[in-house]
Amino acid sequence: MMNSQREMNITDTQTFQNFDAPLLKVDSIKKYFPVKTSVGKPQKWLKAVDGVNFEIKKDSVFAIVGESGCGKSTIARLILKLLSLSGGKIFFKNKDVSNISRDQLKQFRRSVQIIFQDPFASLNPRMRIVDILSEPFKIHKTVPKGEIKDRVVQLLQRVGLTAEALNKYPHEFSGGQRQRICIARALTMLPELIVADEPLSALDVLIQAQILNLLQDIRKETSVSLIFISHDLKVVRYLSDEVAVMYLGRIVEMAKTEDLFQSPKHPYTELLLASAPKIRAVSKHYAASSEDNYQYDVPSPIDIPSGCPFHPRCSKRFGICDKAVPELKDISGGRLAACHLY
Amino acid sequence: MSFSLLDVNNLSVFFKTDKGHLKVVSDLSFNIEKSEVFGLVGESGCGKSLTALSILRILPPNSFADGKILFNKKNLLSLNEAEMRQIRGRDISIIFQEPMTSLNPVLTVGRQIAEALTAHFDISQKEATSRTIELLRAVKIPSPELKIKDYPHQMSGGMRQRVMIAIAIACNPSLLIADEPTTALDVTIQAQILELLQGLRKERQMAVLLITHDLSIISEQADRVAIMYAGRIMELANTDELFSNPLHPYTVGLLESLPVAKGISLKPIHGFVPSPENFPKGCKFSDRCHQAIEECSLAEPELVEISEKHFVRCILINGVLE
Repeated sequence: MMNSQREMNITDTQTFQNFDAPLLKVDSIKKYFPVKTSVGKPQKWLKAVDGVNFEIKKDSVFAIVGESGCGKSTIARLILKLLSLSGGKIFFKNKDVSNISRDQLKQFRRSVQIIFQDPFASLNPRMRIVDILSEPFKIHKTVPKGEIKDRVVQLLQRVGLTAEALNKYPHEFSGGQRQRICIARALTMLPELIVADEPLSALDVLIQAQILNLLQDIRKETSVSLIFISHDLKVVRYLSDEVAVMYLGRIVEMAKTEDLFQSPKHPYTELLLASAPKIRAVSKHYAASSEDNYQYDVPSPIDIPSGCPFHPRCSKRFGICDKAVPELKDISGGRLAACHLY
Repeated sequence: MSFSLLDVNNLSVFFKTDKGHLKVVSDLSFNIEKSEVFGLVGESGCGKSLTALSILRILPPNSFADGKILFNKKNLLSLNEAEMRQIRGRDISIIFQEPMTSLNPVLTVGRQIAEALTAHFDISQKEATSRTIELLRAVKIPSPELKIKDYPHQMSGGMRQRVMIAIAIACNPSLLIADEPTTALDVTIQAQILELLQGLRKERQMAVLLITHDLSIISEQADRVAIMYAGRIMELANTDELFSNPLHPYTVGLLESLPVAKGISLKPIHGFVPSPENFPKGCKFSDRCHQAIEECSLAEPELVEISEKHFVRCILINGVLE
């Protein structure tokens, strides 16, 4: 059954030509939101995502980290085509999906699924679980009607729930259980890529660990790729193969996860790693934030600082930093960083 | 005879329901010494916030507290409202998780800080303004002379939390309750706020009751820790001792559920926290504990001192089993 579904995916004609092609390629994507200004004043733009490139290999976990407002959730929505691009292109299995027709979009959405942060807001409170989970089957008609219920039960069991859940409504479940239902929904169409946008941050730590284990198991079984968006560095280090660190709409550093955590190159990555509280690793008197950093909040993406957007908070800034925007480039052996130091 | 700054003795919190009184915090006892950081950790619903609210006597109307809370030898639970108002905000103050909902959106931050001062001290408006500017400087808000005229919505989350702290420390309290003070903030801002709180604590000899669900924050910030589960303290020890020698299966489970390194699989505790009406008999953790034996569900264990200042509520550890 799995195969029959896979065969209907959009890009089959092309997969044979490119075994090593990335599953998803994002090519200098941009998303600008208009900002309200007074009449006669020039239009201002909030540059939520400003020229981001990355590739995701098959069967891998790609993490995007950064603080609120850095554009990581916008990227999730751009990939899912829940938002339209202001510029750039997105390739899924080598096929440009930036401007595809409605029919193709329907196909595309089978292969790419999303899990949102807040499991309370992402399930319709008036639908029973059985309706929520059978809706994708009804829309995409991948399974004969008579079999849908069996499939839904299988899915529930897969995420650690029982058939008892079928006739309940979302409010009857705890946060962790709802997130399991959201994961089950993402799995209905056997996707090749799941975008998980802060899937753990609304959950308690023990429940986080349960969901994390569940995601790991599903990855092993289905070899689905994952884009994991998070601000929790511990989880990112645990789960991902590659990481991109974002700051104000741009990627400032990208590397293999262990490399990045072992030796961060960009000063912003260093600040992030130093700021994250660690159990017993460092003493109480660690020096994460210098007096320098004290002065600054994360700047608003409407008024992005000139030059390197991080320069007002950076302890290593020098002459050129407030003048020229550094490009993301290879600084040594495949390590990418956008910083004038390199 | 020395006494603690705050001595909580057999504190219980009840909710009034149709079916009678529901005990959600049960016989809690701990003390906080002068200028120490005492951490209270637990999952949502374990009663840690209710404990904080009962100290300030600001519990929601459908609930009430029983027991003793001695603050400088005075029992807060037996004071009348006027006496309590003298203490609230002056000797004990609180900061909450969400700074946006804790600040009044239609008043300038300067006015809100000054209100905390004029409520407790007989000072002129001018004096209040200059002290407000001092306070904003103390919480490291840049150009405080201008910022006193800002409204909360003009500030970022981190700046708002600084304003909340400025209000809380306005009267030099001897105890500051910080209820998840950084949960709504980004990690770099969180580090700034925690560093600020530590600095203020040292400067002003102020004790801090730090409530959080984040064990790593506790391990960096607190001097002593109490781990709460189902309205009870399961383990209480010095921070160093607790993290190097965790004894209660729940504490161990919490620590093992944190991702450490790739490849080391997580061992989360199965199930979820039951609601207070469904707490198991005996040890409240017995239904989720993988070490549970038959005796665990018979009687609830006491919180026992295992080694110096290390208390655990578990019959397997306490060794009271014959």
